Amino acid sequence: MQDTSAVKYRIKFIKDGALRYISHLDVMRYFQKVFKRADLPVKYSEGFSPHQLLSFAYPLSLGYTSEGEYLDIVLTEEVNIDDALRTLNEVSSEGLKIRAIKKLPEKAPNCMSSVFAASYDITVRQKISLCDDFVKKSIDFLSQETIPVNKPKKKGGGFLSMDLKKYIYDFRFVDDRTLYILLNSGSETNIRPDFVMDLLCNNCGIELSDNPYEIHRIDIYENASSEEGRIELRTLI
Amino acid sequence: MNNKLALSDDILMQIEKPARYIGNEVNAVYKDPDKVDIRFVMCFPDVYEIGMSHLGIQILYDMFNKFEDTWCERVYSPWTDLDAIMRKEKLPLFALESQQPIKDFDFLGITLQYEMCYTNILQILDLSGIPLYSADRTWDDPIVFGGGPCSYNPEPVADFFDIFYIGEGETRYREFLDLYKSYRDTGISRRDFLIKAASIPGMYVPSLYDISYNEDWTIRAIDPVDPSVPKTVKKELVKDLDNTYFPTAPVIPYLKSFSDRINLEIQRGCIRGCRFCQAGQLYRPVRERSVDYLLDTAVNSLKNTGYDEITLSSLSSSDYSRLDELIERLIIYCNDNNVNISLPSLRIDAFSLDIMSKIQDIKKSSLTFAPEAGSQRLRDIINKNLTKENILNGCEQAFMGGWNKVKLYFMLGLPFENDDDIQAIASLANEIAALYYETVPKEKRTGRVQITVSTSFFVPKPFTAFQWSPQATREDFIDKAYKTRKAISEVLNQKSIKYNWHETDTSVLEGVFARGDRRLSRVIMSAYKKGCMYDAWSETYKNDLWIEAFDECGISMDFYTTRNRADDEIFPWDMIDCGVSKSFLLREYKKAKEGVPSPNCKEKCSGCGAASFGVGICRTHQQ
Repeated sequence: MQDTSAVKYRIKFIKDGALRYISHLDVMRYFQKVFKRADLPVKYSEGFSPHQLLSFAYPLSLGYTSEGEYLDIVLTEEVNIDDALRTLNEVSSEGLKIRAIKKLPEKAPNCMSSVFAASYDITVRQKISLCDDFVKKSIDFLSQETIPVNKPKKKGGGFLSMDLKKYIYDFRFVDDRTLYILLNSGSETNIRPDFVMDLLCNNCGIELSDNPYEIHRIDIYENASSEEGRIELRTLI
Repeated sequence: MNNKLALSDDILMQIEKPARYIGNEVNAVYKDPDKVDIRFVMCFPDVYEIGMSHLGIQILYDMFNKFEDTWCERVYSPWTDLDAIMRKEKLPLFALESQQPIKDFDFLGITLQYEMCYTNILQILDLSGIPLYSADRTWDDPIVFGGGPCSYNPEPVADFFDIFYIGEGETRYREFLDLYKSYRDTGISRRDFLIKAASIPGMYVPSLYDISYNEDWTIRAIDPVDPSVPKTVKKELVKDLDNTYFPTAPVIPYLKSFSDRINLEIQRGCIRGCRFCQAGQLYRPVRERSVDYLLDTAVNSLKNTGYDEITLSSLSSSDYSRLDELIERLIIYCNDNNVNISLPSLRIDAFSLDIMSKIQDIKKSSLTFAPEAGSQRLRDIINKNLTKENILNGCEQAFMGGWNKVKLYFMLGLPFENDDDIQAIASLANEIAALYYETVPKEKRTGRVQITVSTSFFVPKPFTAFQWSPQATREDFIDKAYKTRKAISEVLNQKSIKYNWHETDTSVLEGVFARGDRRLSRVIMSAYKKGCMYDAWSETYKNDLWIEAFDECGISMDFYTTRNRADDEIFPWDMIDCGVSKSFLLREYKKAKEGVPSPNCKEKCSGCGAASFGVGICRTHQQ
């Protein structure tokens, strides 16, 4: 079979409510069925067990909610975006609704390799007692010229010494327990939001227990600048 | 959608797979509790992923929720991690949809798919805060229903249930719910209500039967306590499988269940009459669904779920009379829509190989044969109508078609088995391997032929010809598995043959419960109190605690397993009538002893008794 037609689309969706307890793998399987239920002209891979050409931007940890998740899907033909959005939402679970669809240029890199940063609201749960000047101390901490940290390595154990400051692009306190933060999420450094909040709590000597934060991802960004060393963040849609 | 979860975020984040407990799956049914009269919760007493793979519950869930006055929800056994937390924090067990406590429901229906789930039933009741013994319950508790294959001999768990529904669930629940609605608020006692319920066909209320015993521990008599209570309860069955409930929008779990596909039941029952097989007797007579109905259901189900695989299920799919037409038409839709078809339970012959080559990847798939016994002598005894020629011909054609993996299933400990029968298992596997090397020229071979021999231990079941037969002892089982392994290691092509066998301890316990009686409920209670749960899982099965429980209750396992039963013994399940008569089964047992096979239902009617239902193949035969 000739690869006659392939149109790439990017989809932005939420993960919310009870469905925050579904793993990334389960979300992937869920979407394969959503596209079949919506009867979109999905393109399949070749071979004896063909699969949908589907890729996800950035796995969301189990328990986090999000209003800015992304996936790319390849269709065999162009579709009307409004119709597709409506049809998809008709067959979607309430906690996994689609927010937007965008057609991608033919040569566009896939969403996973585009991920550069992600923004979060991190709320320290009520069960954790905070000190009175937690917000001020945290702002001071994050406002330092450099923030040298040892980050646990993804593989093989050990720590990576780095300046965290370089990877925080924006932050502010939304209320006395909630920090908004925009963090680097490139595949090499990838800063986890709970890692930053742990630092802030340790900085104040706050005692943490299991499951200390509620974490909500707001959006995912790519670096739109082609200039070496310059950062120009833009959401994936 | 229901975002108000019964479990706190802290709990959900510390347990394995929290998605087991949050409901909200696609096609799950949500109703306004204020707008329904009846709250029903269906339970599969095992972990979520197993329970969600079960078709029966999906059928009944669909049926109950089609009743406007009823909301049917689901519950599964909390895994051991959550179980410990719920006990510690005294959290009540809840239904997945409403997340509300089970104790507040009108009905709790528990399906009994295998004997090893019995302690999990107690877990469900216990965590729900429902008294474990039926006798201790009041109107403040749900009425606890049992159903499924093990309810054909529910006696070991009889004391824990209020009612067993005997047979196929599609037929009598509506009538029962109406009875409930008309009596619930009249001030009737729970017991009097159960007596009324017992007059609905298919409803077996165990507390309404007195069992008396002989000195040798066998049963002397089974007596209903009230004249209105029937002496025997006949199984219910669906007469027309094209006009009944079948879900076309089954609930789709987010977690990967053990059956991540549409399960389409093409027929019910089996014509074969293998003498070891309980399902083959329980679901008689065989009833087929029409091709049009199946195609319609298949297409709707696939559209409503988005599954990429459909399995055509039945006890013996090759016996479905229009299989070629069904596949031919289904394959067109499936190819256009990237859906795979799977077809288990096929007899391997030219026809089925042709179908399989159309729907599967030959390189990945393997051929499966279930000769069950190694020798023709023993296959005749068990009435397994499969000859060595059938197997070798099937293999030869398959090898020529490109297959090189063969799986063979056998049982050890079958009645009248001897060492030659075990030896024959190894010889058969060896012959198949040799056949591969004869059939496939060297340049066409893709590596060595892979033959997998698996054996399980035979457990005699009620309503089979072997219900009179002694079960092999644990030592016999081990000895037989050892002999099988040794025999295989001595054949010429042993390097091409892999041998697997199953646990022995659970087979013994399964045998006790399969033909057990009411006196066993104290043993189950005792084992549960000691910490037994999830006995079907080898990692959680605690044989030593079970042995202790039997010892403390002074009950011998051997009485139920290895004992010889007299032809006229009253069995614990004699108040249940599955349609197949005891005299027919005894005739079959005697024929087995003589090594005489019986014809299948299509060849010739053997007069099993199921003709009294007047449906399916029995009706076709009469015409």
